[in-house]
Amino acid sequence: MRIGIILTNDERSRAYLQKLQEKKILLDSYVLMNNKNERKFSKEVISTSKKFGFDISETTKDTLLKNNILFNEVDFLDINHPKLINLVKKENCDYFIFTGGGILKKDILNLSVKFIHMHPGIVPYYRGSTCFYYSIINEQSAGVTAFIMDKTLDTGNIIYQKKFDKPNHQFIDEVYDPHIRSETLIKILEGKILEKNNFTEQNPENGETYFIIHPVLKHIAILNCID
Amino acid sequence: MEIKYNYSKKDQIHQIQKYQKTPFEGKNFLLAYQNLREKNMKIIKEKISEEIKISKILKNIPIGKSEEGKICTRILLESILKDNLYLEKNEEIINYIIKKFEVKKRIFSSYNKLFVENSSNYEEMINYILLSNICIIKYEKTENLKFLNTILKLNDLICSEIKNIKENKELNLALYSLKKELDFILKIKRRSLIL
Repeated sequence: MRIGIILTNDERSRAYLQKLQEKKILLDSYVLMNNKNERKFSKEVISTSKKFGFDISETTKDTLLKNNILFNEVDFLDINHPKLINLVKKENCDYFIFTGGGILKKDILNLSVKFIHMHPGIVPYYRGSTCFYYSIINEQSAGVTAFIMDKTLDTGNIIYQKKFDKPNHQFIDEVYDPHIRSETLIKILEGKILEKNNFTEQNPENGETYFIIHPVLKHIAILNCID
Repeated sequence: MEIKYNYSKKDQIHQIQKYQKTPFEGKNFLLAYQNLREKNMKIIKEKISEEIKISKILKNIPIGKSEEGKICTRILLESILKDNLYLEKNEEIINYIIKKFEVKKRIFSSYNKLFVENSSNYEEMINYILLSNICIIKYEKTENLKFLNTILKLNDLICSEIKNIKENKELNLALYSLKKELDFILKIKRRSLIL
């Protein structure tokens, strides 16, 4: 089975890649969608990320180069871009882990490769955006669902789900989100869950879809973690 | 440094607020939110010529009818708010309108039968106020945070446009929604032991 990963330069990709390296898990193909967007992080965010197993200040490209990993690089961020579709086709993988979100269009969905997404919510109860904040307020915990991406949002076949305690720090977007998603990815790859090919179908009609969280609710969720 | 609540200040009908990656500003942010909402409620109270009970407003909503092939948003929202809130068919419509608002941050004055906007007018404040009141009732029944999230965004927009709300019925409905929203938030804060 050939497994590849499509990375970007965001904090999520940084966590995925660094934790894969730490666990000595080598994939068959690496694609970097690099928009060279350099975000600055505070010292506190950086030190918190290190406590959770990755250095948020190290770019995805630096990690790839440091570890002598061969990779393909494109200078756009569009998963549906024809150039990316051609690249993915050539790599001849069974699965590609996609660190970004959004919806795959027909051209890329028609390829034989399957795309895996780590969604920060236990579906079908938490579909959509910023689910971990809603889950922290409702349940004092959050979760990740790994699923095969399909034509609609967060409705693909479930590969694996894992619950996590709420964090004890305030950096939920920067550290907690990449941390829980990357831990779930490691669990799947170490447990050889993809090889078992035993996925659960979702009923798109069930569950709830959330939209981007309002700052008042976001503050309540974060204060719930640190207060 | 004084923390300010800036999400309801600019004219949000024309300058869309996306709420992406909003910063964490500490506990005082919630106090700033509460203070500004209370200030806005005071402004509305001063504009209200006659305080009307919400039940009376709902009772007096006329049942209109949209033109053939066209959904008039105000008529639809009024009829849902008046007595059809729990019909299964309307559950779907409410979710659809919430999605429309959450994605575009605008409610258009009319849609076609496939719920595609067929009007360029998104400035009718009554539509935002009605949807906010529908979400208030839905949240009261279900405590589903999806509804409270939409209420907060709708009420930010409503507060940013207070000067453009003139009708007594609209002012009363807006005030009711703001009062309820603040009650819900204070209740969640208490439940989360955020003092």
